Amino acid sequence: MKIIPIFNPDLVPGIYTVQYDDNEIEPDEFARIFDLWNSPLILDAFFNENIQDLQSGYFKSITIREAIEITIDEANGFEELLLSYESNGANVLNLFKPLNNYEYRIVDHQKLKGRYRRGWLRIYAIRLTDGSLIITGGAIKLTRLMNRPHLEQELNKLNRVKDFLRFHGISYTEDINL
Amino acid sequence: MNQIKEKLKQLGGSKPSAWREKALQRRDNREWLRKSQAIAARVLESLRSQSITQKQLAEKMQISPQQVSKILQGQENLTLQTIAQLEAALGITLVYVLDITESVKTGQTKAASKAL
Repeated sequence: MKIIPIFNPDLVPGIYTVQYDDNEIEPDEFARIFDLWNSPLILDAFFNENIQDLQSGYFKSITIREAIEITIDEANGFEELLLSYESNGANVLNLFKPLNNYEYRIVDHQKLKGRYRRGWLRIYAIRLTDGSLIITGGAIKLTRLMNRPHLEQELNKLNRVKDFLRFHGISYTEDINL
Repeated sequence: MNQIKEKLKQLGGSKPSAWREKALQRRDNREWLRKSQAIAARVLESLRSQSITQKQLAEKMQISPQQVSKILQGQENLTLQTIAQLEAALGITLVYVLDITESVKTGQTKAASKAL
């Protein structure tokens, strides 16, 4: 496992992600989740597998195709915000809005003024005591709770990275991650 | 603060995240990429509604299953020929061209769609 910077590595606090594959054949987690969120093929399989959750929530009669389009547009929106903040020299960390324990969305708070719970894309990250963020994964969350295999996988990744950080003496606390 | 940064540096890989480069590529190619993704989503919907597998689609189009998979990833700059082959294989229309006609009475411009 490696911890790698996403933006300028000299930024303090910084934003990092995890390279789970030590051989570096698979992309790092932040690159991987945006690849998934841009693939109609993968999204189609995901929404088909989770069709009951998709059609039992806020969007009752949504089709898989509509869900794919919504996801890609949301992911594009996230990327635009990240790139524009970076190029304007703004603090990219300000875009990561905490929702729940370790769960974030990417939001321009100035524009959306608190309506950022809409949308189903989630970033999972651990905040360190210096304010840095380590992004451990991401997911499409169609349910309120985390009791779905793909979401439990995110909890497992969080725990793996927490163990890794503790082992290497890097500080984070549960308090600042609530 | 420096201590954490130094420790993280030691735990880093040989390269920074691949995300930024990919995001810039996606941004630079947004217009056609978005269309490719929309076509892929429509094709996937059609495969499901007609109970056609990707392998069967490949056979109908006389291309490899790997090529079909690439198309469905939505990252291909599809040729008109490939789009036409998809349309023929699935019996659907993927691309329309708008005809602009002008109404004499109202002076308004009306758009009528015409499938290619």
